[in-house]
Amino acid sequence: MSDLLRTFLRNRKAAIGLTIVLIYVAIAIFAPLIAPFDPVARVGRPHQAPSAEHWLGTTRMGRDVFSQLIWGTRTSLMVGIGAGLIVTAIGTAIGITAAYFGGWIDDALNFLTNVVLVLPQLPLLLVLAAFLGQVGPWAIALIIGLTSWAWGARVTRAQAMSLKTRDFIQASAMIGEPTWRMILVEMLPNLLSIIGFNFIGSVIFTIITEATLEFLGLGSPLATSWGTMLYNAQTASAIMVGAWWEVLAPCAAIVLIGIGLSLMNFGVDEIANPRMRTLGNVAKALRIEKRLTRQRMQEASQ
Amino acid sequence: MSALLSVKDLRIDYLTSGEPFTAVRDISFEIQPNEILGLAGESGCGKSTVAYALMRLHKPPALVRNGHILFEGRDVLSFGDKELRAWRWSEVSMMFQSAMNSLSPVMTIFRQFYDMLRAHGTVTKAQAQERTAQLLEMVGIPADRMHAHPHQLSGGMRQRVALALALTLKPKLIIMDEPTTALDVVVQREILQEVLRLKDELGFSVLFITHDIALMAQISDRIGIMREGQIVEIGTASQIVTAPTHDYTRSLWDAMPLLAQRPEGMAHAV
Amino acid sequence: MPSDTPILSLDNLSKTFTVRPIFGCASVVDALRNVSLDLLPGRALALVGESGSGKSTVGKMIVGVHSPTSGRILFEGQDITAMTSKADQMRYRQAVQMVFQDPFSALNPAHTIRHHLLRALALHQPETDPDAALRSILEDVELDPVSTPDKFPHELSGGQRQRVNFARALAVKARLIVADEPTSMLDVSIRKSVLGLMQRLKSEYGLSILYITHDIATAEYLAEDTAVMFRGQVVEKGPTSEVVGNPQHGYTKLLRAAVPDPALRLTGGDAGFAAQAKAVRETSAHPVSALREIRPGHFIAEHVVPAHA
Repeated sequence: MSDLLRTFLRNRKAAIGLTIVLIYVAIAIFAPLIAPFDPVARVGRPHQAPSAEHWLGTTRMGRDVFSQLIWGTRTSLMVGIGAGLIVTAIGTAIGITAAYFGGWIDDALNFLTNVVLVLPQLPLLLVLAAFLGQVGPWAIALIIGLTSWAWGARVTRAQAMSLKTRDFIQASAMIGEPTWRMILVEMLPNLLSIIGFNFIGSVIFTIITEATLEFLGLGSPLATSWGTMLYNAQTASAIMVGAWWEVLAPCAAIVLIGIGLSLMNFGVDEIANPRMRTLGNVAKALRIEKRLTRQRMQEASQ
Repeated sequence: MSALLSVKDLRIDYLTSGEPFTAVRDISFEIQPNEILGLAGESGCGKSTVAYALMRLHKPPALVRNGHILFEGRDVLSFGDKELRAWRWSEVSMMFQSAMNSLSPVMTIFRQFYDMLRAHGTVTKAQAQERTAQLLEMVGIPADRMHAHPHQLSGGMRQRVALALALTLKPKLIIMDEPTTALDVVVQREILQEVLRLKDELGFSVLFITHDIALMAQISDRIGIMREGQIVEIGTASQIVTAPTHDYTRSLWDAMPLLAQRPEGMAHAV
Repeated sequence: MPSDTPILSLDNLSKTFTVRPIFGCASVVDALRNVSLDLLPGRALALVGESGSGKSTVGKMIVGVHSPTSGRILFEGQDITAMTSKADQMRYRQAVQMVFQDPFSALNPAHTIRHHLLRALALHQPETDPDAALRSILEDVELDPVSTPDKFPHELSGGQRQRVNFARALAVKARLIVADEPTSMLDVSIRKSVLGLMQRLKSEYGLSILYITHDIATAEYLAEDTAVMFRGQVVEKGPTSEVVGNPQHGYTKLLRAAVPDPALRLTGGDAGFAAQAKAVRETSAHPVSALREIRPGHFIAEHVVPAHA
């Protein structure tokens, strides 16, 4: 494990990404200690520009944007990771099962996956949310989780199928390993990188989708998250009145964690594909070779 | 007679995240015109690295750190891009282990020849077809197969196509990297006899790379034994077979499963 | 203890593969045609042929990957397709193990050697002390019992990986090993040592080995009997000393002649071999009409000659 971590961190992009994400996680955990104000309390004049007292200004209701951002991180991150876990768990289970068993099980699961894949997700979510009324972040997490696993299932299935052609699967079956062990112990460890990749991708997706849903007004007004911040900014016509800080803060928060998670995925890719690990060396070797060739050309022309 | 190819003090490194790994350590050897030099050794000894580097086909993180590759007196390592492209395939060509490495699976056989001919000069489609037919017949493939795709041919036929491709521009040296390892013995014999016949007819040298020294002894004029990046012994085929001087060469012969009709290992009259 | 009852018997085994594309006609491939072979306990049978001869299909059918189109596979006298109960199948699985051609592909890259072998031991020798058994098995296959268990497959050489594959078969307490080209992906210089290992396992443990190979030269290092296949049919079979030492069928003679022999220099001028190869391939592709016993235990195939030839 520590070996993997070291390879992961050797990639500069992954290290930066991990740092960003860890900062967010730290903010989420230590929110009560970092946020100067209660996010829902009216603590200042409406639409105050960023100042020493209110680093990111105030909303129309006079709430401190910075505190909202800090507390919002906790909600958004928990929902994002929660939904990401649901998406990854369902997608992986379905993908591996379809690949391992083949036959009619594969056909049935493929059918299910394709149906979920082509469902227009946002309209479905809107309808569901409208049906359920204003739902809290956890309900949103569940809804997103249950509708977004299809792509991950597809990818996992493809990877698992190529794994199944390797002789060691047949060899394990030949020594009589029970099916559940074949899947969980023999196949799963070889799929960790695609699962990790899927998970990180899902988290990015769910964070954005959650923010989108809440921005559209489907979240609970009692919750504090980046999405509800955007919703409030929208209803307060923040841009029109020039209160750019109310919009910029949550947007920047989403963009930055999106970047952080994407950078982490570069690292996962390197662990997954050992050939990627040599990319740094490839570039270095090319540089040196170019220099040497130039030298040799010069010597030859003399 | 001056050597066709003269390699001097060639050193090739592989860059890693730690210390660079020296795959080829300051080796030197020559190939004369119309000669077959065999380069034998176990996996990882560096023989394939040498083969690729001779045509500057080695891929980073491999790096030619030092040395000279003199082809008819000119140092290949000092060629610019244009010079290199003109030289490759017309003076030196290569045959790879798996024909699927030299043949594109999505193009017809004819297309592969046509593309190569066009890359090295202007040629009309009709001319290219004529030349392709000629080359295919030369290696024993009916000309009408030129419109097939590689996967429609058997492994042996694919390697013959690879041989024909290597001969298209009448090179003076062909580098063969384990060309028959993936084929069964009968096809292997047929292809190698084809190579020898064409060599007598057209006149070219061969650098033949394999880990099967018994096979190598059958066709090479001289043999070099490589181990961990160095050539430990080099001599005529006859000498390497009957009176090897290096312990490693002797151990290679001892490890060969040969038919019991002959005494194990050495002492064959060639 | 050697006996006269074969441990494995193929009785007129045939296998036809039908490829049915969505567009176009189905194509039928006769992978095996009336193959009959016997393997005696504690001995090795070399099954020699080029790619497309059907030798790998034989191996796959014995371990149950494919089922016969016609004919029977008998293990210790019992038809394996008749083994329907879970217990029977498990017992057959334990008794018959396969060692694959690609030593790397046969090992799970995510697990250590210890995991591979302990699993086999846990499933088939649950009463024995795993660490002692592990040590003893690794010693049997000539691998260092101290450093090997904690290594991953990519940290071992090709030869070492293949030894681990044999160790796994030993851990399962197999009685018959189907070795499908176990040395063709290894360097020529280490093939003899792996063959030597197989020979030792055979004599020390009484293992029966079906040695599938395209290299007839290696048959005599291991197998008392040899069968040669071409295009799905057995063309010659009998004691190795006779089949390899004094081949009678045209195809076997061709194989034998093609084995690289450092004492034989090739020249381009010899067109005889290519012509011989062509003629032999044509004749040998025809269906076998009978297997003639030319000497005790040594059979060669007689082929149907088409009327218009």
